[in-house]
Amino acid sequence: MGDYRARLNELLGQAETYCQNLPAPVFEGVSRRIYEVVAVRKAVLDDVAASLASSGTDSITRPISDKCQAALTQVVIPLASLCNALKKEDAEWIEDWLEASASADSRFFKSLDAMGLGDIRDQMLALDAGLTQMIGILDRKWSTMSEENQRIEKVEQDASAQMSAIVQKAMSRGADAVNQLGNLTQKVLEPMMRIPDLVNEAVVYLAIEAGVPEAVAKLIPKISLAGKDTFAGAKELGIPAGDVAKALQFLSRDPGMAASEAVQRVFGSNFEILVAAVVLFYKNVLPEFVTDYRIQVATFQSALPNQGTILVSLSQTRADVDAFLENSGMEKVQALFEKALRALEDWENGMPTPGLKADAAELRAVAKEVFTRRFEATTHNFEEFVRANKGRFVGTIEKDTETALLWTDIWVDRTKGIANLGMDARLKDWKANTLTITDRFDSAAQQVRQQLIGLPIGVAEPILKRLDAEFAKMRDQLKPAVESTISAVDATAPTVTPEQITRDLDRSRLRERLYA
Amino acid sequence: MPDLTSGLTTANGLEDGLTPYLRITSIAWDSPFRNTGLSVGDRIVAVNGQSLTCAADPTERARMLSKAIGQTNESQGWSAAGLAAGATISLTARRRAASTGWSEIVVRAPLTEATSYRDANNRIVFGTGGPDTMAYDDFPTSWGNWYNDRMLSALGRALDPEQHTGTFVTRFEWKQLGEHADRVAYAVARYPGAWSRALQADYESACNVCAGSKIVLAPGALDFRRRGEELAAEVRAKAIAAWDAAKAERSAHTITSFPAINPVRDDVRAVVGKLVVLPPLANNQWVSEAGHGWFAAGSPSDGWYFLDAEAEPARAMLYARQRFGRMVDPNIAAQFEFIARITDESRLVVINERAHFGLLAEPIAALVGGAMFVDLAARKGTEIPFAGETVLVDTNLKLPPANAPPAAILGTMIDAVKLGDLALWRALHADWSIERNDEGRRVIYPHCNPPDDSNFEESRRSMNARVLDVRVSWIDDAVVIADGARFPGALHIEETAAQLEHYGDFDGETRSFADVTVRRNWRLQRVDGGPWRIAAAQPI
Repeated sequence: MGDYRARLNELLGQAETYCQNLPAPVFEGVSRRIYEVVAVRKAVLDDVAASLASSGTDSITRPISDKCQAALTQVVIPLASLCNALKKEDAEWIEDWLEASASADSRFFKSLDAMGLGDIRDQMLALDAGLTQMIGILDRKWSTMSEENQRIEKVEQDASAQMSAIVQKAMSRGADAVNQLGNLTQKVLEPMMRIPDLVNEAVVYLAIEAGVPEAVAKLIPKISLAGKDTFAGAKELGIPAGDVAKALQFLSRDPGMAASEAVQRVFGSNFEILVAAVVLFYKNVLPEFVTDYRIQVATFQSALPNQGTILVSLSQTRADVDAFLENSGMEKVQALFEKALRALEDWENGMPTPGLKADAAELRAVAKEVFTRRFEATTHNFEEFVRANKGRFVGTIEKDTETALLWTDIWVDRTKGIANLGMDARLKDWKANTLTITDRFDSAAQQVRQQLIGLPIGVAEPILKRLDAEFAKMRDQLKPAVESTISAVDATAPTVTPEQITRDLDRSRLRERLYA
Repeated sequence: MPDLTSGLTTANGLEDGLTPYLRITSIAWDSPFRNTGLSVGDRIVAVNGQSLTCAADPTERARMLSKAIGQTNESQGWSAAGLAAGATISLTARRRAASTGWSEIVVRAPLTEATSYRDANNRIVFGTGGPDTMAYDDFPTSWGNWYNDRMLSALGRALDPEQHTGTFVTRFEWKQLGEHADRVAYAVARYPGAWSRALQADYESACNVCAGSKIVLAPGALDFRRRGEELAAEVRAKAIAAWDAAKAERSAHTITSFPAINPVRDDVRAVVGKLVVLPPLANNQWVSEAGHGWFAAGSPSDGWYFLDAEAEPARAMLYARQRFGRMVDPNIAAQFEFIARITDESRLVVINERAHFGLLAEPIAALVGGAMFVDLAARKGTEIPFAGETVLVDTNLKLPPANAPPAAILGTMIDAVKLGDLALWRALHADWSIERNDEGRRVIYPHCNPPDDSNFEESRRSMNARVLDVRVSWIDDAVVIADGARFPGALHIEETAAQLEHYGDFDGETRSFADVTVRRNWRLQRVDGGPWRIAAAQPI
């Protein structure tokens, strides 16, 4: 609070000059009135300063105006009435002096009122309160955005973890199935090489049964060496041609049976198991993998629009903040602050007397300090506002905000992690493995056939015919199972290419929306 | 030398640009001008045939004023004019004529010396036979204090029409005066004489002014109130019927409102474009977020719908509600029911210290306060009539012809208020504003001053409550406030003042009254001889 004694001293000095010749009681009365008036004046100015410094939400525009108006009554009118009281002293110059004093003080308070300091303070306070409110709003919005985003992020993260687990599980199950197929294939193919021996044994057995001497009968497979004439071969072995003819006659009655029996004895149920294993690999492993995997992809992708909604809210809030700052930002506060300082300076400069000017300077200093403090507080508040929201709600979106909302880098790693499991390469292996089963079977069958092709004509033909029929039947079982599996692998493969995984977990649209 | 006095006190009206005057604020009980026909409130425009003038120089003006009739130093003025006690002076005074303009009277009376009356005991008394100013006569204050400090100010307030501004409350003053009745009667009985006769006459005049003039309302004079109630009931019925029809018509596209889809938890696609009927929203569900208003329907557990209170549909509804308040019922409840279409947008709004995600819904129909319906789907911009509005607009009132006098304009305005014809009320108001520029010249700003509809609303409220009738009691002479001669195309502007008399019910009688809720003084203007329009932006 100021002393505001300059005007007092000025008036007292003038009173001494102008009123020294008045009777002592009159002079004392003038001085007393001046003291009274100046005391009231100081109280008014202190009130104005206190109002300006107050931080209450009530407007001080009207109260300050009322105080100035009241001052006109409490200060100016008493001076004017003093003027009337001195009239009878018949000293017009005293009248002029007091009238001029009243007029000067009137100007002091009228122009103080006209400055609108109360309104400026109200506006500055309102802007500061608006800023505080906005800080709270943004804080709460960010909290909700973060909470919801983390919840969605967890859904997405869980889905991607599930995707990874499903791939790993499928790879594990696939690996087991492929091993099993390998074993079963081996189990089928290895015994196939025994088929020629079994056929020969059967031929010997049947010949003995038919009355061919055992020694001769045991020689029959030997004469069936590939590429030799039966009778010539028998002659080389010392087998009488009659015996050979006798044996052939018998064998030709049902030679194919031997082949069928041999096939039965070799494969037993192994072939069906192999076929079943191929079918199961196609049926159980791959479709289940695809279904489970796609469910998780869908779960992940269905969460993206929700996350997009948060980003839209972020954009909306950023637009709200832009509008807020345009209407209520620091520029406006600064303009008000400067307006107050300018008005105070003009007010002081416009004072008609040195005393009033000095008092105005005193109030100006007090008011300037108050406005400066308020401006600095708002500036600090604003800086806090910017600091808390920079890169988020204020200014360009920064990496921290992107990380908080999109976790972009983490998702790049997660995507790579799933792609690096190598499911696509594994599928290629599986396909290759499966494809070879048929080829290996065909190759083995061909070898068996080659070994029996040298049997005596008439024996070899029905046996080979029967074997061909048996192998064809088996092939007919194996082929569709293999083809179905290959199809399933082919259908699955695009799901797990690195490109597709990247597409499935693509968050680039979210990112675009964030920076839109 | 004893002071010369007219026994009048006056207030300064010398700055009046047309006819400088001094207004009589009191006539002393012993003034020679008593019983000359002069009244408090009359404007003295000439003394001894010489018109009052106003000096251009403020100092000179102040010196002249202090020596003028009825002022502190009037004695000096009379002496300077060479007049002495007993000299007859004539005063020319203007007073308001019965209904329009002014009448002028000339009265004469002698100047007297200011007299201090004393009785045989040399006590100061109020004239011969009057009471000792220091005596109490068992009253709580002395006669001097009572008469000089209380009665004179009370009488001055009551008898001087210029003091009947917005803060003058006739019934209060009448009651206050009533408290002095016994003392006045005592003075008349105990101290018969000039003073008590003057006191009694002034007192009765003041009581009559404050009691108000009595009238008898014609049969059917209050029919406008019944008509208003009937129309309000009709409009309410239309609103309810329209609301029910709107819901039924849209039922196929309407889904259960709650629980609402959460835009950050659920898939909103299934509900986009669907309609919801929202429960009544009260004022506290109208959320203001950094200056932006939202209607918020829902709860944290049931989810939220947000309706933008600043978008066109809501603004259209709020404008309609304003009109409804003005035309039908100013007390319409702030309760809003909406049929709203769910959009594909969402909003994040802070409610009760927490931000909530909700669906943005666009209102397509609204029922306000259970009384006003608007079909917002049929709006053009922010314009949409509420159900039944057209019935209200048809009042059969017509805009007065272009040459209608100010009284006819005000009379039609009063009728428009009674019947709730907002459009006509608006049309009767000036849409221009006249202000002085830096040179002091009047400048007209056309079409910049639309009438404030809230004044219509408050007028309606008054007419349906305390005010039984309003009548035009006086119209001033028109004055030219811009002569249109300064440059080609300059406007010729005339202005006139007018006074309305308001009537209310007081103890079963219909009497005029004034208080802070009614406005007596009005202003009308016309431009280039066009129609008169009301320039005072105020309620009745």
